[in-house]
Amino acid sequence: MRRPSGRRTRLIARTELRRTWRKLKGTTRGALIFLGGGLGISIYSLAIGAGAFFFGGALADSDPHTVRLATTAGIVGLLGLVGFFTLQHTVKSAGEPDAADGLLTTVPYEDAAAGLLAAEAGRVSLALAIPIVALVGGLAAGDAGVLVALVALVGSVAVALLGTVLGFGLGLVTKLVANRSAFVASHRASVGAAVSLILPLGWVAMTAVPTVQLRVLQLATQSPLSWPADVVLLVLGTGGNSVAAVVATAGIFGALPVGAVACLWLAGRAWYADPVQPDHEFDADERTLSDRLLAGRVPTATRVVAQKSWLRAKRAPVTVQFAVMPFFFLVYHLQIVILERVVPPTLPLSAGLASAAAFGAAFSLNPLGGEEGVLPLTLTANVSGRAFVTGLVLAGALPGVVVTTLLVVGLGVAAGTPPITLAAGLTIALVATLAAPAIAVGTGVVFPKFESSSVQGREVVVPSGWAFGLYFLVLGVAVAPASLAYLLAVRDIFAIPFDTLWLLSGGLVATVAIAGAGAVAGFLYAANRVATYRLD
Amino acid sequence: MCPPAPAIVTEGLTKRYSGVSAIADLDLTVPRGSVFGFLGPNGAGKTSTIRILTTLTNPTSGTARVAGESVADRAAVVEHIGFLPEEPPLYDELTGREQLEYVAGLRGHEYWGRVESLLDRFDLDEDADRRVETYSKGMKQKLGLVQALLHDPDVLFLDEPTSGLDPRAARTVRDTISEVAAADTTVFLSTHILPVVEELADTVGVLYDGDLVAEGSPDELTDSVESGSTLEDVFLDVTSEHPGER
Repeated sequence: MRRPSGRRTRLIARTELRRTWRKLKGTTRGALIFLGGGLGISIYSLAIGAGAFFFGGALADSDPHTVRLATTAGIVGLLGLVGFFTLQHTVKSAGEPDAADGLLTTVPYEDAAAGLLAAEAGRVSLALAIPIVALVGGLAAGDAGVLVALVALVGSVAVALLGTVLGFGLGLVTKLVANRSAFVASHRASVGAAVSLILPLGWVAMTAVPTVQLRVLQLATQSPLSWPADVVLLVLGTGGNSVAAVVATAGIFGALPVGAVACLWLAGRAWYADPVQPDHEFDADERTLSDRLLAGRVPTATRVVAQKSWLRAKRAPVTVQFAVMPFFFLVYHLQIVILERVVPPTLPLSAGLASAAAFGAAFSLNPLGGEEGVLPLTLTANVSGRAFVTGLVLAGALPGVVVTTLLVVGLGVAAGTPPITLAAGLTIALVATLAAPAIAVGTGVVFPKFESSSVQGREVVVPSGWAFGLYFLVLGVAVAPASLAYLLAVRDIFAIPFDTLWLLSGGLVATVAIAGAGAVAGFLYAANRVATYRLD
Repeated sequence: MCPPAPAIVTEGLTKRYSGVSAIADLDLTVPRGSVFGFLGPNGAGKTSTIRILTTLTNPTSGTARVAGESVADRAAVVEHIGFLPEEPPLYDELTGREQLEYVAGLRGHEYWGRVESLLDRFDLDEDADRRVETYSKGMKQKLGLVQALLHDPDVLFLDEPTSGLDPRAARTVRDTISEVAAADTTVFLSTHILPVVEELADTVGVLYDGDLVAEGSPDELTDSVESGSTLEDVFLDVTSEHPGER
């Protein structure tokens, strides 16, 4: 491995930063991210600045344990935040040059890797500039004093850079494993589900629990991560271990070049690794589960459309990753499960409806755009609009029914839901599961989307936000009567003047009527639109 | 006895995009079982014409019939056509064989029997169980051609079919075009590779700025410029600002 050229590193980093700026400036999405992010950062910065101004002095006068706790919390928080976002950004896009063939045949890969790392550090620095200025300014202007402010400035910049290097390196490791691991290549669907749903959901649910946060912080204060607090304590003159302070300072500043060199080494491995592609043994007589379920029961064209959708999702889960979003609405319920160790009575139906919404969206929310470059074939393949749309609806409804049933029944039993209420909840969720894909195809052809977006480094056509919005609105209106009846049945919100069975039945009838109407309308409209669609 | 109806007929076919004319009043007749070489510089309107004839786009005005069916009736037209666009329409996530099984399923499973022989003919049988995303450009092109031929169409639309192919694969494609044309399939061939058109086409049409500026057999066209000229000379002549002064 050779030492990267400073001139080329600067040139590549500058070009990358310029491209980032133009992407933010030149697209509506970019402008919204810029404005939204800018607003969020400004609000947080104000809070940080005010906190540092009013409470910085009090903290400086606190006992050493409190100072250690606060300093460690700041370090762990900043390191975790920057590391997580950098890891995500590296896996998604920043961990590989966009025009890799061109750049890697123009400059040594070390220069390219150093340029990308420097660009990432530049992005992080720009994003954190205002909060850090606010923190330092608040400390300096308040009672904490200039010396503490100076330590905070140097420390926060160093920790942010360390988080960047750490996140970039871990991102490259992730890319390398994803490319080279036969296990990952063969189990992309399971790995994709874990990465996009279970891990984030678990993380959000766990970190919201104060006892978990406190435990993490306690562990951190007993680890070398708390040693930088000794620097602060020495500056304040309220104690502190000078050996720990020296080791912490040397550790942070020494880890930066070592980490950067490791990143260059990893980039060489990740970029030049041959990706593992599992072959698929073909047996002309073999019948898959879906063959056995569908062959002879639905027209061949419908069956192959559904099977094609499942195959694509299984091998490239990133194409349906957007659909897991409804499950994130269950975070509140999960927190209750973790904190109170009980399953809330509303969780079975909520989980069932999340499953219905997710499976409804997964294959059906962009019937035209989701075909990507294959759309000309689909339109000229002599398959009717109804057969094609039925295939998409089937692709979502069939697995949806299984998952929804398992979730509602499993959680219902765990929650101790009475049988009649549980049966009503299951029926509501199944009605939603069957109607959702048909509603989705309708909204998907009203708002088709053909432009691709980069998701985890791959160009994917995800459904439009308008289609998402309309779909959730229609599905929400459809399930509202039955869900409200279910809520009144499981929670004593107010006394109802008639029997629970009547309440649930009435809600269910209304939901079946609305969902049925929405599904039929959506299906027929989509079938007609696909049959007559022109690429004008 | 009446002569067979032409495979493709257009009358006054016009396509405008936001007021800009892509095709202007195009009259075209392609006899059944012939190979029609469709030439023209970039932006001449070739792709727009093919998209109208394959029912992917509506004309602004005029009519077109393919295999006797109006292009306004997609369901009727698509039964008769096979189409290989410039970018082969393939799912990256499927294997070559799964892609063909999918298309065979869409069109009716009786075509499944042709898959193996076509894979073998195009030297794709060894790679048929690899994902399409691992294929080279030439392999994707060949797979795209196989799926366009799978149902033995009456009219085959090919947009740059030999682009990116190695000499052996390009020869296979040219031989296939000759064979399907001999078996009464009409081939509408759009390409920039003029020797391919010279070798295969019975009739050549040259589109320039949306107008059909030349039409005839390759011999008729080359003779119309000067003796000893090639199709390239004809192309350059009719697509220059001042024809005949090149």
